[in-house]
Amino acid sequence: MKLPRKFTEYAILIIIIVTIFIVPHFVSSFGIHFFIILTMYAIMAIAWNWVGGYAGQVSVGHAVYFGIGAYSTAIVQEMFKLNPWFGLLTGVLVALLFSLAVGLPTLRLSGRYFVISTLAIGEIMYSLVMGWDFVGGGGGIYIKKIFYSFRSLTFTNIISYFYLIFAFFLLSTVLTIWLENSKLGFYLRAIKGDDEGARALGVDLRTNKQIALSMSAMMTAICGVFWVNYASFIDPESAFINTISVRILLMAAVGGTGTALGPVLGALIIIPLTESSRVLFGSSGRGLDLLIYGFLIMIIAVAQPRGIMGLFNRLSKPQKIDQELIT
Amino acid sequence: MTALLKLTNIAVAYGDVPALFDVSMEVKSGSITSVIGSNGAGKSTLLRSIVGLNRIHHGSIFFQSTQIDRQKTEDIVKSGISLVPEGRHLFPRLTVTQNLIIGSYYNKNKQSVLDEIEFVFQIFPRLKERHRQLAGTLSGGEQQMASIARGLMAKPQLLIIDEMSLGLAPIIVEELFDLMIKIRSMGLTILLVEQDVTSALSIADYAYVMQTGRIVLEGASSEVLNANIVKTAYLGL
Amino acid sequence: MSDVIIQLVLSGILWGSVYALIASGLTLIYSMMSIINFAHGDLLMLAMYFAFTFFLKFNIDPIYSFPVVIILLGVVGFIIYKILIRRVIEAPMFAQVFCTFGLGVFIQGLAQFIWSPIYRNIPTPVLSGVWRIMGISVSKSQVITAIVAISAALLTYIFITKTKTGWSMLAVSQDSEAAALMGIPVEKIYSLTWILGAALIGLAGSFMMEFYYVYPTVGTVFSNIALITIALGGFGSIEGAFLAGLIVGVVESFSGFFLPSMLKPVIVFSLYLVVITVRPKGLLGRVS
Ligand SMILES: Nc1ncnc2c1ncn2[C@@H]1O[C@H](COP(=O)(O)OP(=O)(O)OP(=O)(O)O)[C@@H](O)[C@H]1O
Ligand SMILES: [Mg+2]
Repeated sequence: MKLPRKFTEYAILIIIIVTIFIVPHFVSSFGIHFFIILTMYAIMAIAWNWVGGYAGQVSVGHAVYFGIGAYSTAIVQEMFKLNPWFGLLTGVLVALLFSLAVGLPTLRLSGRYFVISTLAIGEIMYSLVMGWDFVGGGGGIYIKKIFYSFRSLTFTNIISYFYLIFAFFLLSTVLTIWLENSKLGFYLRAIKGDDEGARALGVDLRTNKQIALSMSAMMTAICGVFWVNYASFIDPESAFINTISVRILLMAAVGGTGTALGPVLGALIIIPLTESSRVLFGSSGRGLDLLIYGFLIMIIAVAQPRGIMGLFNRLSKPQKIDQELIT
Repeated sequence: MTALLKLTNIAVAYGDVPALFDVSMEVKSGSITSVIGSNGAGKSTLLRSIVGLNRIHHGSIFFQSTQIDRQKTEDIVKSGISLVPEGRHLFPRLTVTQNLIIGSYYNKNKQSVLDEIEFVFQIFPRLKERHRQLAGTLSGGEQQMASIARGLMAKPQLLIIDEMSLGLAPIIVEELFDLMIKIRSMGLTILLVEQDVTSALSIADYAYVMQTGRIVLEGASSEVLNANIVKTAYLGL
Repeated sequence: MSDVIIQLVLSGILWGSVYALIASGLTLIYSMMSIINFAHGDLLMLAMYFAFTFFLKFNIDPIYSFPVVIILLGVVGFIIYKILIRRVIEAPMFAQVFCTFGLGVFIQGLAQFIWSPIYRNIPTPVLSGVWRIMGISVSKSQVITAIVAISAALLTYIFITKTKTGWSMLAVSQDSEAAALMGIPVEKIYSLTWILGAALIGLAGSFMMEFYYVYPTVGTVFSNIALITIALGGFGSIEGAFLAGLIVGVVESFSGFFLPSMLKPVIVFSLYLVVITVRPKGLLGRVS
């Protein structure tokens, strides 16, 4: 009887899928660009949610994995002239290794110390890449597109990019549904609910958290790889800046962490909001976009601290006592 | 005797789960009133609603003919009610003395605070020995003493104690029951929730018996002690 | 060489005391209500702009306007608590995180709206020039700022540990429900905490305007350093935050000298990771 309980979630998921398949045929290439950004951020929010939502390990520096994916690919493709698919593989592998290196010391920390360590790692990577001349320092790396084909992950037609990123979106969604129903997902929820209790049950805390973190890192890195090949350019500002991390966190939080659908809903709210307020008010240079953005975030935090999905949960099942407050 | 505290038809719920249904009771001025009942009957909930830690969604609470059920906890406390909560709730990283001083938060007269500390140290010499120790490092029984002492520090008109004898040695419990009689004679009114039903009823003037959120029996404590329901359910007779 | 080292230690301590002051406001708020205020640096930015505006409009130097800036920040802190924080106290941690992030973004937008994104500084501060003592030179403004910072942090510490109001703050932080049972007005104590935390930032911002420049996102840098500082010192430990502030200042000063300035943050943030690996609760954090 699993399905009926999550009926709302799946129903809305189907609506989103249908919308996203149809919409690109109706809008301009600027519109498609917007949907590409939206989908890419949705993936990152979904990936963040694996570790931040299900495992309760809140990361405020998730942009590092995006940046690592992007830069690894850029280096492999531009410096060593290898095929972008190889870049993808490299990006994912480097992210995996990096997540292992990060997870080892930080995953045993309690909540708030973990949060600050993700912040620290984000800042370290940003500064390192800024000061690393081999990868262009603050100037970044341009990717020259030579071939345009699926084999080289580059396309002349923008809609192809959309389908590519959408394929990754489906992958992340499938992984989420798998996670929700797997033993891993069960363990993660147990950890989040009660560290000590989970330990007493014999759950290996760190291994399970590490799996979630590494999955999340690799998925986020894929977005970085995609972005480089799509935008043909990467620099520390567009790869490692902490506004990306904040945005990822916000999407998951606004939609509802620890739910399959929350991050997607969050992306559907946050991305149009930031993009449109930037287009409408950002050009004035007077910060109106920031005012509106910040204001709405505060409103959501106050009105719906468990995210939009909190509304559905309240309707469908009794609220669980939230123990992730602070460990 | 007039009613110092009067609860009329109060109802309390945790979320959607009701914990108290239609409870009415009175605490007469200068009396010792006792509430007994099995685990989960709603005794603590009742006491917590008196001081505003739980909000009632039906009924009313009057203290000295002022309605207090909408007031903030701090104001209720200020008007003369002191609750010694179940489970001690000391401030673990403050010393015993600091805990006591905080207990007399509203007393701006330094000398009378010091006198009061001396008074509670007389009652609990154990605390005097340990007055500079952090409260969190006291033994369980010592913490219970400190918690009761802290409740006395406010010099309330109505002293409410939830599970007074919890974790204390029988000899100390006996002393505490004597103490209750003594402070009653000093003019305090006492509302007591107690597991030790026989002792509680023997010092109380009046008693209420609670079951699953309702008052099922009330009366002079001698009557309650002899009631069948109490004999079978609490005294195992 | 030893001159250089003394110089580096000294300038590290000077900056470190500023970090310590900024962190003390943050750690105060954290210890009281377990909320990590990610907008803390943006409050600092606001304080700097207030000090700057007094200079711009009335030609009053920050060393004279700081009492007013402190009061203004106290009011801002009070408003933030009343309108925003009070409503998320019971919310899960990440809601508090994104709420204060939102607040930070909002304040940045406000600053951009009012003061534009241009970098501003006070061209002729009262405290300018340097003192030279035995071959070591220190900027007057930074020495005075450090003295002010250390005194303020010390006063705050004394206030909390030695006065009855301070004790009731500690009581609220340790068990807010029991504190209410003692008749402590918990809400008022929380308000007071925000007023005090923001006022400390007001002081820091005023004096930093003597030697630093301000722009709408200047707070992000200091937010990050303050967050690292209180975590390094151990969450909830006021002494720890102060100590960590000084350490961060000194480490930064040394790495700035021996390494390209770009790598300064790398060293500082790595320091946190190293310490936290050895001591998972920070330098003086409570192991509960
Ligand atoms: N914070 C809470 N949230 C939800 N339910 C609660 C809460 N506190 C108490 N309850 C429930 O309310 C009912 C009454 O609890 P209460 O603590 O008042 O009982 P009690 O009579 O004091 O029991 P005991 O003798 O064990 O202390 C119980 O069923 C309890 O599970
Ligand atoms: Mg009880």
